Amino acid sequence: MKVLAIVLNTFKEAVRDKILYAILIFALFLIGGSVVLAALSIGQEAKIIQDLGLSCISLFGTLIAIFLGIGLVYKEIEKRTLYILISKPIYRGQFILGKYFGLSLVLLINLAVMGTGLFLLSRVYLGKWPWLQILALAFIYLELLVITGIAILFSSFTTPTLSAIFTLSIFFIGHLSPDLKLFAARFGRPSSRFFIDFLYYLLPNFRHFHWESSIVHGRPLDHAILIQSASYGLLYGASLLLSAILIFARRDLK
Amino acid sequence: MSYLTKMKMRCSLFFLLSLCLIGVWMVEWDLDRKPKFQPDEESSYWIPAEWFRPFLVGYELIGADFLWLQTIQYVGRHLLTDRKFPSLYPQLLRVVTLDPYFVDVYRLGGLFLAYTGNQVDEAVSLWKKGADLHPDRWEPPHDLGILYYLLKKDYPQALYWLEKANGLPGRPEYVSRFVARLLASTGQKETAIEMWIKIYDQTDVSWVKDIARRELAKLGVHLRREEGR
Repeated sequence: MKVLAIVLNTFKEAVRDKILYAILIFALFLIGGSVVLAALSIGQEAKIIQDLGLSCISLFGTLIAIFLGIGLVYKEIEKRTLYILISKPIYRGQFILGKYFGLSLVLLINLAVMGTGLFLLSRVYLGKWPWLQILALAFIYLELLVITGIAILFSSFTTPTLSAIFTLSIFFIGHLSPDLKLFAARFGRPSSRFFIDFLYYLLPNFRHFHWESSIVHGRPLDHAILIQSASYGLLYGASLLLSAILIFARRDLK
Repeated sequence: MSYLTKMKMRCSLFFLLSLCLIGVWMVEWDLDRKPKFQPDEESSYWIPAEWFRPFLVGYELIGADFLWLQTIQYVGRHLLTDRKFPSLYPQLLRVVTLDPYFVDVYRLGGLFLAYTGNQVDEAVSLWKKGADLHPDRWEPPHDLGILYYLLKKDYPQALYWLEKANGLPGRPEYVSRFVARLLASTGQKETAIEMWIKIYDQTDVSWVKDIARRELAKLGVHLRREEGR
């Protein structure tokens, strides 16, 4: 119940943030604008609309997760509202959980708005309902949950600026980590290979959440890999959340 | 501050803004008339996609789409000018490196390479790449078989690829007929005409229709532009 109150409060606070609407409108504008690009593509309209739409949803969802997530905890400390909260019978862990799920709810609604726009547009160009697109959107949401976890983790012990830098860095590395591993396997010494392997398993691998290519091209999907990828996302997100709770519980707030 | 002073200040600001805008317009107009360095965009087509793929941070599909649009512009530009396509093959490779499942790139790209660009070996290489990557798709072996039949006149290879296409799901019904004719080694001109008519019928892309119409004319069949056949 206490967590739910924080979730709803975080949701209301985020909904009041103007940056959210700016990003959302821009994303919808770009998804709609993909029609213009698709017209130049010689018979590839549906593919380009879906590619561009799903990528926009992922990218702008990431921006929302980062820019709202980095300030979640810090703002409460700066405004001193956190002291009022923790003077009440609330665990710090509950506070972090409330903040996390509040932002996750905002992201879910954003994703639903952008996803519905793309879904209807794809229906027009494909001539049939693109049901598998929902799967691609679900994985994008999983990716956003992990990114929110990273943003909250950094937000629990550092400033918003540093949180933004760290989260963006991990976002880039997480997309490139398979290349990094391949590079180390080809050229690295055994010691550097070990170090890169360690980093590879420590940092998130966002490639597990990108099913757009298979879905847009109508390729067969391996259900076992889908389930494993979803489990990876949920476990990684839970690990980030637990780390954030542990760090925040030990943080000196005086 | 009085109302009059405020009005005076606003008018002055408006006057200054107008001057600035006129200045911007005059400089822009003058700059447009001067000769400028034009970067050779097409030389960048030789940069392998592997080199810039990391900068796309997971959004390779968008990269492939933009390169595909760039390829269409490239083909269109050269069709209207010199009808030479030296950078087409590397550019197509870049698209399929970023999006290997983009089957239409093999199909349309191979057609342009072979029948408009006269780069038959490059077309074979592109289609073989497509056939290797997509062993479950009938299109790359089908197109390869037709190319071997029509351009290379290598009938054993044509038979090999068309038989391959004939064993794959979703293939058009005429493939088995072509295979039968190849096995009987008869009616080569009729087979060629039928192949081009099928290519013509299958596509909505005007460029592909133009290629088919041109090749059919070489075989003595003339299609009427406005109503197809």
